[in-house]
Amino acid sequence: MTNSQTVSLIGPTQMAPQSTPPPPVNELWFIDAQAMFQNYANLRSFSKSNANEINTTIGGFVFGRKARKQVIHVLFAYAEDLTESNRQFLESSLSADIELVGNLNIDGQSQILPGGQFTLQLTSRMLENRSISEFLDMNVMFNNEHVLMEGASCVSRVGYEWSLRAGREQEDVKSAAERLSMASFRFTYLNAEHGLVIREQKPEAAQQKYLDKFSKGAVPYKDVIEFTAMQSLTRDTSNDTEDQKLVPTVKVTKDNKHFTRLVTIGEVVFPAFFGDSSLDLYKRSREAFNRRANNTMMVTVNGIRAGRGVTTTTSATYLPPGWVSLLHLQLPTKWTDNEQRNYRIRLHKLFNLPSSKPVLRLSQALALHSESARLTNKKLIREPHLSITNYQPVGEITTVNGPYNYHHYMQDGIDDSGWGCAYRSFQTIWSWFILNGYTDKPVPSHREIQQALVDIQDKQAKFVGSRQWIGSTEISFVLNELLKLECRFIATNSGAEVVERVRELARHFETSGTPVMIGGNMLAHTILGVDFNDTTGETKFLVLDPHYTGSEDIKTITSKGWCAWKPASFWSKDHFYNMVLPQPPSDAI
Amino acid sequence: MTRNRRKSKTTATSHPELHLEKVDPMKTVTESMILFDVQLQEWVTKSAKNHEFVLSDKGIPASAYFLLGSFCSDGDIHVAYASKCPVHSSALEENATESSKMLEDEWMSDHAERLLRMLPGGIHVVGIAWFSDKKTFSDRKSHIHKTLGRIQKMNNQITTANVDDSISDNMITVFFETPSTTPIGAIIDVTNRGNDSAQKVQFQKLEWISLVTNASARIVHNVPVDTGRPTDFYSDLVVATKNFVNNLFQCEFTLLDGEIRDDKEPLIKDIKKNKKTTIEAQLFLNPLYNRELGAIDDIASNMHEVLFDIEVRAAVPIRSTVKDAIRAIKHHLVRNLFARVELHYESMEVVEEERSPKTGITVHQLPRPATTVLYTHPAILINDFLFEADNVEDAQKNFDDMMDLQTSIEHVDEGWERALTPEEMEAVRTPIEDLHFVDFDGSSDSWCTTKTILITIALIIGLLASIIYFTVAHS
Repeated sequence: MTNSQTVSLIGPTQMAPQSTPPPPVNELWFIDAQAMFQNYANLRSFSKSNANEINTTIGGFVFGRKARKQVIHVLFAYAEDLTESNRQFLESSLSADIELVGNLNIDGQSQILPGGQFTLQLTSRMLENRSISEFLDMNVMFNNEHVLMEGASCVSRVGYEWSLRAGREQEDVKSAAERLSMASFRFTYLNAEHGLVIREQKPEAAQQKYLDKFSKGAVPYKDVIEFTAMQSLTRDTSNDTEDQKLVPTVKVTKDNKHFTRLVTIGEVVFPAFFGDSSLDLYKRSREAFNRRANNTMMVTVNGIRAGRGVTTTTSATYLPPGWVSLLHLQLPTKWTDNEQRNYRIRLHKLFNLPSSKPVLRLSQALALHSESARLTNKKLIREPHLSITNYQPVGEITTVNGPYNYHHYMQDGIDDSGWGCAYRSFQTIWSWFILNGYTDKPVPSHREIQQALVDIQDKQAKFVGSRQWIGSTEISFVLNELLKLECRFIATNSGAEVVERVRELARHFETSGTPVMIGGNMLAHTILGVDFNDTTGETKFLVLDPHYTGSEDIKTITSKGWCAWKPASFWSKDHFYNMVLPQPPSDAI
Repeated sequence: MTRNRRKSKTTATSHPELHLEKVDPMKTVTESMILFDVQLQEWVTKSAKNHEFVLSDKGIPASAYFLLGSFCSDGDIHVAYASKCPVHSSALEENATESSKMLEDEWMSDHAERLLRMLPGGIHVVGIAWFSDKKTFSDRKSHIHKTLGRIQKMNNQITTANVDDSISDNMITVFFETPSTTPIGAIIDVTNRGNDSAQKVQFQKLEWISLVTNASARIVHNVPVDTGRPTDFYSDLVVATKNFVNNLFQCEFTLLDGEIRDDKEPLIKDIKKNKKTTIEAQLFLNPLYNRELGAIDDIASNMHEVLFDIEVRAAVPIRSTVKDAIRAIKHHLVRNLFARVELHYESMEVVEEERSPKTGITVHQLPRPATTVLYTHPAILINDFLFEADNVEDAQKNFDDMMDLQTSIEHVDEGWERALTPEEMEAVRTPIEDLHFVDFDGSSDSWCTTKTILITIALIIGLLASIIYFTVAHS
């Protein structure tokens, strides 16, 4: 999405600082002030690259749950982005239970949009200093409290088809989306396995606590109830104004006008909270559906307006860092890499996401539905180290930052036992870059890795298809060749020296967070973290062993030590070791 | 002649307490049965006498009746009603030839087709009852089987649009060797060269239950103009609705009284305790059916938009499974729609349709329903379809002519639907996209207007260039 071409509905207004005590409030709301401060800092971190925004007034939108009196998102925006259409886009991307609840002003300047019922009183000093006490003093109706993530996710896929006449695509997209929203009551969500039906119903027919056995203690990013969305041919006719229906009609058009048939497959996701009735869920499902239609409309219209023609989009659901609810987007599928990058930058600003770290790459989307798009093999074990139990730390632990997949011998039907350990470690590292949004390229096979080495003339052509092992040097070459990544090296003369370099590894995991490949003693391993006691010098290494030849069984992997904390003696004193520390790019979004 | 008794693959599950006759000790549990409603006994007696009369008075050698009923889930065929197939009017003339007195299969098939259009989902023309002497029946048997095959084929076309194989391939004949009133039944497999097998006929108290729902949709499809396919209103509409009908029949979900039911379970779990006369259903389409993400360019060379909002009143035997009940509902929707399409298409041959040359848009109104119930089985609702100029008396006459239903005006309901007013017709003619909706972004209007002006200017320039070129080229 390019910069919005719309003009704010209400211009900036000056408000005098409050000179009288604020009126007493009848209700108490909850807000996570630290999350709000982080959002402000994230938005400000973009301004360095745009001189025009340095002195621009900042306003914002406050989204939350009215029924629970929770502020969920405080999204700051520069004045030119404080438009009704942007508000609608933001809302259409948020969870169906979250709506606009308020506005904010900073240093007495306010950009008021309709819909809010209160205004946060903020100062730039407060925001920059992250002063919670100052915030609470100025906003007495709030308690500072971290809102817990809760609720299961109800997910289903819906297809809709829009006919767009040539030359009138924008109007047709808008009218089609509006018509689809008006028909949202026709969609029913069914789960035959559990006999669940979420559909239009009268209040007296509502079933209480409908999904409580699923939603109790659930969190939305992993506790999923999959539904099949059906479009109802049947409707409730009890409120029809006429007793008689109209006869069927057939309209035949032969004007030979050109049009585009746009098909979108949307993923409709809405939360189910403990205590919800079936009517609550139905209302939320309609809201989620409407937001999906509106989001599709807005992305498509902006694509047309930007001269990119009719845009096809795909659904993606995210849990951005620090968020407690999900973000639902329609992402364009056929834009160029640069266009998509610019769009993501735009989204990062709108949602106050980090300016130098990818969050909204397709590979980072939550695969909630069984048919959701995945860039990596879903059969692989993800983050096995999180399943380690009963480990007693010896000091301070620092580990890999972000998800990765466990690649090991014999996977993908390739018998690489005895020679493929470094290739597998490489694949594990590559999966980290996919799952953390730095690339959409699939994990290379052994042959592709070898081909890359031949392409850079490090190996001869006959190397391709061979069973030759590779080491840390080759891994860094391929990462640079295929992903343009730079790597830091740690070279040691013995296993004892590996232990001496533990501080460097700890700093790496704190700052970069990528898995580390270590080669030596005719073996290769992946280091996922370190546990270091600065006082005693005791050190342990979290090691992922690619020599495993068994099935994808997490219990075996963790109990047999294939992913485990290893003592310092794990590294042989009689051999040298080289470590490759991939460096994620700092300007990636 | 040796009777060839063929065992049915379906186990009979009749209820002994409902039998009014002693169970035949020779009957095996694997046989299906032909079950006539007990009230048809009177019809048999009356029809046999009537045939004797027309035989002696008019020399009509045979009387035929269409048997209306259901293919029950257990393999039995239930007959609720019998509708007489009229003889050609020429057969009643003083100097009628012998051939005109015979019921030709084409004549019978045409009449059966009109009957099918009137039947609700779940009720079919399941066979033919034949009153004659033995020789006449034997001579005509192959023709009767041919007629049954044609009926089954037409039923598939009008009830499933030939996209689903849920119509039974078995049809029945029931022969009465007059003046006897003893039925001789046979089941004919119309797909297997008309092979038949003798089957016992019994009279029982039969019951149907009503399935109630409604269905409304807007189907949009650009029918390709293909020289290899006949292009007419009916053929185009079959193509336009094919995706919809396929989706409907393949959709695995239908709610009955708001619940997801297993296909195999009985519709009514405890028939003895059942107090229900109707079951509410909810029909669905799969919004993912035949859809793939993408943007495809097309030309509105033959764009069809079908808009309907139809009440559904299907009927199934009370011992039906859930699966067959759902089928009956879907059958009703398709049959109700296609029956009107056929009637409208036939009327187009008579009436010259109006066309709007400016917009290239034509709007067709389909006929509206008028209904009455089968008085012996209130769950079975019979439909007639009326054109704009027709009235309720026409429906009353049609019920009498087609089905021997002497129903009063008060029992004919034509209030289900109405024709469009001229204003509504004009609204349908107007592209829906031009209707006003809330504008999400106020600036788009100016952008669109500017774009429209630019396009117009470009067109004018192009036109002028063409004129100049034409002038210069011919100067």
